[in-house]
Amino acid sequence: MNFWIIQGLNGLAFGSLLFILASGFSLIFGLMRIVNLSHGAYFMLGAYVGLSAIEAGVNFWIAILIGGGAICILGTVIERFILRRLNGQPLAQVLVTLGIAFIIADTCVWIWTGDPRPVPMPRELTGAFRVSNLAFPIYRLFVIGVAFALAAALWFLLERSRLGAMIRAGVDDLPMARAMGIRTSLLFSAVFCLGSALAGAGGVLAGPILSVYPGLDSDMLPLALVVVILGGVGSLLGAFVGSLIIGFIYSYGQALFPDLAYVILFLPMVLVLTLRPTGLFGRQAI
Amino acid sequence: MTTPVLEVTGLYRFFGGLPAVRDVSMRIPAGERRLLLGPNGAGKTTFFNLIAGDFPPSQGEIRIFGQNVTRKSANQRTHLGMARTYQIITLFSKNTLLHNVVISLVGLREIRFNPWSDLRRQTPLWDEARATLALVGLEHLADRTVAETSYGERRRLEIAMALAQKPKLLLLDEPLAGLSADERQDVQRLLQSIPRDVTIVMIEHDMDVALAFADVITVMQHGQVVVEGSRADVVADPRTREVYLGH
Amino acid sequence: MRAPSFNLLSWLIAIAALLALPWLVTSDYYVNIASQVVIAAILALSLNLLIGFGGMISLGHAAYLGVAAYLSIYLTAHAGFGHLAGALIAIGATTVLAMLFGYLALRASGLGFLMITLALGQILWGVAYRWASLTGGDNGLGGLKRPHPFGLNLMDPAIFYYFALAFFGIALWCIARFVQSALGQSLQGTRDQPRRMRALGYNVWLIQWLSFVFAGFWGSVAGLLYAYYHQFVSPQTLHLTTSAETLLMVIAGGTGTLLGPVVGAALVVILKNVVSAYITRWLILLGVIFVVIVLFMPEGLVPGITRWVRSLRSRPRADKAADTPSIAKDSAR
Ligand SMILES: Nc1ncnc2c1ncn2[C@@H]1O[C@H](COP(=O)(O)OP(=O)(O)OP(=O)(O)O)[C@@H](O)[C@H]1O
Ligand SMILES: [Mg+2]
Repeated sequence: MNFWIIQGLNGLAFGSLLFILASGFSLIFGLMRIVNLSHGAYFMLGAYVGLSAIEAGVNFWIAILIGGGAICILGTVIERFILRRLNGQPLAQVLVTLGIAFIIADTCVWIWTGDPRPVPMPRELTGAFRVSNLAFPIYRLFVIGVAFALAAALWFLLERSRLGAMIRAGVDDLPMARAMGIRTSLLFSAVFCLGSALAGAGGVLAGPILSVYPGLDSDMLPLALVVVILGGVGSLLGAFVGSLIIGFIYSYGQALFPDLAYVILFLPMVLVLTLRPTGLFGRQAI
Repeated sequence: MTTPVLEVTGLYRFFGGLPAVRDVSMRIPAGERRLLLGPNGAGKTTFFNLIAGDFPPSQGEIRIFGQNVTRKSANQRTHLGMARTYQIITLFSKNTLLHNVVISLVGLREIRFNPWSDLRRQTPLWDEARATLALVGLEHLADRTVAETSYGERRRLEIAMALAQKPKLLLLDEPLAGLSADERQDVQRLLQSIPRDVTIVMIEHDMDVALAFADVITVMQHGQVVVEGSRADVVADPRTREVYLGH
Repeated sequence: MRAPSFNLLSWLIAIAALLALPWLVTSDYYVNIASQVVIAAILALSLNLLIGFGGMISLGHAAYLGVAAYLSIYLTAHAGFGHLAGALIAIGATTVLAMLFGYLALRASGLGFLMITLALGQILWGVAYRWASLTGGDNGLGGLKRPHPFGLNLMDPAIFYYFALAFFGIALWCIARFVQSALGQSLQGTRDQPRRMRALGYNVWLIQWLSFVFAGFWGSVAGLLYAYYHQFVSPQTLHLTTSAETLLMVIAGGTGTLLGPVVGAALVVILKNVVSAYITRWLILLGVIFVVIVLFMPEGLVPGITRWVRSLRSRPRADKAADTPSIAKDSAR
């Protein structure tokens, strides 16, 4: 019984990290039709930047801001100066983000070498939370809390704010949104900036759990893609549910059949693509 | 009573809550020349797309040659003996006219699954394509690419691609649109020459041309059928005037 | 799209040059690079079926290379199968995998297709990485001895080169026939006007799926040769970077022409070998090339440069540059 609870919490924690990454990816894809293949690299670079900040003596919480901020700036620059030039050429945009992903990944190896680097946990969150004979790391509970808070905040932003109304209009029908006078170029920058910042900050947040290593990007990017395929394009709820599903599958899979943890990931894809190609909560096919 | 070639009952199609086609029912017997009239946005092309199977109806049933095809794919319907042209020209613009017609011919033949024999060597197909092009007066342009032809020539190629399949039911979406007076006459004569066992449904804006052609006329507006009847009936009907003058 | 129409003479020259290559370059090192080019060219040709002729951008084509390589090495070196049985099972099983992946990826089109192929490919990479008891994990899988078909000693670089070249010749021939066949022409139709193709009676999904499987099959043949050549396979073979390198071969050589990917394969393999001798940062260069090509040469390196050269040459008749009747005329019959 304990095993199931602990692994369930682990899955929830991993799914939470995934949501922080995938929500931005999904928003960007849903609104701008850009498959940002740099997103995994943003996550990894954010983690490395955060790590360096911590090693330079910066407090963990500030390091999250630094990691998120750095990636936000990087993403905004890429969006403004490269992706925008390729407006209306989705394929060219994908290939550019792929190229940038390689550049970032290799630069990280260059700067931070090939060894895995653990990111130290903030002191106030070390230790375990105990209920009878169950112990669970407080930090993971904290990450779960952050993801739920983020989900709530994003929901509020999308459903209750003016910006959100514009984003939803853009996701549903971009030409129509443009015709209604929404300044889509500003909107694009805002969403890309938000998504990048989430990826970068998520990387730092993930550091104490996953540590940082070359290949973290390749590990996370396909999972984010699978989340969007499962959840549906541009759907926040889809990204949330999809992240948790993958989190659970991954966590239980790794504990029960460590060899096959990755093979099992095919399963939800086969099911969803066969039965519901729009994804669980998507309205349009991807 | 013989089975109608096309029978549609209670057809609806919504686009994001807005109905483009609303409760349309229609029976078209074999050999009839049917004309669809209606102002822009009346839902005529959408109606064609539903019959052709581009997307499923939101509600309603479609029968072709007595067979319920509502759930059948577009390509399956074509194999029953239906062909169509597009209002917005949809051709293989980098290929020659001849090639376009050959692709049309191959679509109904088993050879389309052949991954090995050179299509260029299928002489009978190319001869047949050339003959079809001659039918619409484009033989002299057979080896040009579509990109190098004029708009009127492309319109005629649209028709040639449909005729090549020797359909029993032919859907023509504004085949005369954008043609010069001379070209119109040519195409009209071509349409007139189609054998009587082919059932034709045509969308057309030009009243004079269309009236000369049609046996029965259906006037649509806002996705609905407003008037249906013989030429004389429809012209005399005050609702026809309303649709056109109110527009 | 048409392949450039080579006349008999240029074909003969090309064939003679390929056959004479081991005598022209005396060093084993260069013969081995030629073998790598030939294997990569098979993979690029097969990917170009999807990208150039089918308009389906796959970012997971390394899957067929890697899975066939893993399977053949595992079966022959670790599971006691003979060379022929191992090779046939590897190719057969990989083709079946292509059937499944094609089915999944073709549930979507365009960017969705790209995302699904990428995700499937990367999951395979993760499997190879983590299923260490079977795949050797990070250390990869080795121990394969090159076979001795018909008494040929494939350990000799020149003989191996001819062996790979024979497969390349067969692949090129089959793919060339496919492209000119009714099915291949239909595939190009579905790329340009899927809706019209449906209305003409074509089952667009089936055409795309069959082509996907066909491409997967030739990808697995490349994988088999890859296994024989390196006698080793690691998760890196399945990684997105391998798919991306293959994609680069296709777009560098120009999509939609038959021989473009072959030129692209030669360019990329040679560049990678040369660069790797001097610096360790091949991946950065790969990324930069992608960015530069997309931003400055969207039609591909070879077509871009060709057009540039042609426009220099025909400057006196610059007004005719846009007109291409000469290429247009010869093809239909
Ligand atoms: N794919 C689509 N998505 C959303 N709306 C559509 C789509 N196709 C058609 N419509 C809408 O349905 C309505 C009917 O369009 P349709 O093209 O059928 O009219 P039509 O009678 O053919 O007009 P025209 O004479 O201009 O060709 C229009 O309001 C159009 O905007
Ligand atoms: Mg219309």
